Amino acid sequence: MMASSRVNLLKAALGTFPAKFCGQSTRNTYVFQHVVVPPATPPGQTQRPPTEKQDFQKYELIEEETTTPAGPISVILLEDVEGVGHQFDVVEVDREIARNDLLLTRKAQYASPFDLKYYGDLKERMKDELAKRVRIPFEWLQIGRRLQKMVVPLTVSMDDAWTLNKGIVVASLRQIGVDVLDGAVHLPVEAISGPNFELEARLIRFYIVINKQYVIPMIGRLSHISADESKQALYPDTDKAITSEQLRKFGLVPETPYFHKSADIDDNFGVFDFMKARAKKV
Amino acid sequence: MNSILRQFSTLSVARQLHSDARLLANPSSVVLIQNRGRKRALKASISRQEKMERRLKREEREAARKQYNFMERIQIRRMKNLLSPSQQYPGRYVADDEAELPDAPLCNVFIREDVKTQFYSITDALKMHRELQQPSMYNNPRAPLKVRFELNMDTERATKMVSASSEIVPIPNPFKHNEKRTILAFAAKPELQELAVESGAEIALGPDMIKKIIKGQFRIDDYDFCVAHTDMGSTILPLRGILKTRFPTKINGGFGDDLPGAIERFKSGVKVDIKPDPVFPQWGLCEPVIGRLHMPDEEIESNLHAIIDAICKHRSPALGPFVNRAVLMTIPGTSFAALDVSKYLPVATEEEIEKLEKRKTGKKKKKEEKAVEQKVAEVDELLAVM
Repeated sequence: MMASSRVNLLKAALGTFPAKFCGQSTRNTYVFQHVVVPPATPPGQTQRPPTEKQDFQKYELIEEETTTPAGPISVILLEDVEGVGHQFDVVEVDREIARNDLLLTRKAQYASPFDLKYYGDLKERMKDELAKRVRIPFEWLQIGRRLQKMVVPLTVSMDDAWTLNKGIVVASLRQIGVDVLDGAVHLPVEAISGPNFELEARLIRFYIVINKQYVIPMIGRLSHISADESKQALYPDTDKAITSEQLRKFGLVPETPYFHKSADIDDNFGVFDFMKARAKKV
Repeated sequence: MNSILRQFSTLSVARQLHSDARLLANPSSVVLIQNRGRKRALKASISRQEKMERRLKREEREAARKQYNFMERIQIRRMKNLLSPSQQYPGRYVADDEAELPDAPLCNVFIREDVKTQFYSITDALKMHRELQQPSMYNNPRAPLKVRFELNMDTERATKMVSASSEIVPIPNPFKHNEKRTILAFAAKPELQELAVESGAEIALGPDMIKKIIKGQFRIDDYDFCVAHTDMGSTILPLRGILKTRFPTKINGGFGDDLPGAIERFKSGVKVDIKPDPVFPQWGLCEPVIGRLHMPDEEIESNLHAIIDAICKHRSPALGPFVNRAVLMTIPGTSFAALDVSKYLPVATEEEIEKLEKRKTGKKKKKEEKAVEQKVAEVDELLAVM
């Protein structure tokens, strides 16, 4: 730990990692070109020495190969890596990530001809097992994680009668920057209506379905609003994460997202009851 | 009391004697700096520590000064005095900041900051606002709709920007705007003047008042717009500089035979104010109210079209798009939806592009032409001599 911190300090101080400290050789490749093209050697004669004329020794730098970025490297993933790919996939990854993370931690292997064949054969042998695995697309996982952290303020009127419906939830989500294009929101079966100040700041469980396949449990908090500014109420801080104690107060439990086998979760699926039953089992 | 004081004084004397003795024992530790003569206080030297402190302070000040270059310091001074309205909510759209984000959402659910700005059609934007303003939520289904236009105010000259203007644009589908509009009518005949006042003009003036306005005896700043009858003719031309964008012309519909109609159009028209940003001169803002939420979508769309046409007349389309982004909002409200107005923006014709090119290279070309002409003249002279 001490040695690595000292090394990091050195790195920061020097800016680069010189060869004498890491024991590895460094190499810079320069591509030069004659400024004055020397005359072609006639056949049968020996080449004129470059020291004969000054012009023969004049070179200009065309390219310093070391400065051009090397580009991504092709690796075979040995396990499912989020954001990169699935097991046995041959992917192009950023060189730094490959060298510092994937290859060192044995999550990936260089895509050498031998390893390509070896892992290709292994993939064939493990085909059935791989097919059984549940693979959730990375974008859905990312969105799911972000959504689960949010507490959506469900803005409802202080003056007019309302019943919590999809429209209110979708509009409230839009206010905090989340757009649900097809209205795939599933609410509790028991209708919640108001205005009812006993329900103010109540936590409500609802579900969002991504691409009819991935169900994400979300929390909403009822907040009565009014266009009349004199009636404004103070709302609790929504930046903090909801604790399980707070959930228990409203009869809720922490839940995890559910990935369905096929993309057929629609309005008739009964998402709310299904997730409730699933939460009870857990 | 006296005995205590005496004890204390003897102690201090003893201490002094002790320190003096130490000093005398080690004479090299004694540093005697004496200033004698005139201006003793001014010549007093400072200790090494004091010198170090002063040097550090000086270096800090130098570093703080060198942090920004001249133009940056001007910018910082401007920003301290003023707040840029373009940067206040919902801010300015900069396409480069979103270059790395995906163009379209990848799923049916997306977080707005993870995707590029989505431009909606007016129908979709209105639907979103109507959902929010429904009786169950904000309960304002007749909310006034405003469009916040972010404008690019630069012209072909680097130091010249599009100037601020205020005008009333007649719209095809008027709506109740609850604004008090004061209209000034110019008519030669007293009957027409009466008619103008009956139709809704604040006041009607004849040709005799024009000189008074020019002299400054009659204030016209309070009036939002002016309307003139054709019988006034060219007598109102001297007022063009005073009235500026409020001047009635055939193009804006303020000059004509039908005074009541014109007054009605301007009473129900939309006030369009183009305001340049005080901090960033190349940016501008315009926030006209284009309708009400309960109006049909087609009416709002046609109103928007008319307003965009009027706004875009202030800058040549050959310079590029005048509108950076148009955002639909309600009053009051903070939610907004970016509108796709590309089909309403004027397309530059070839003539306009050529005109712009000529204006840009006009001076250079003139110099070249002059030089060519001179040479031709010299050659002709030589030939004549030969």
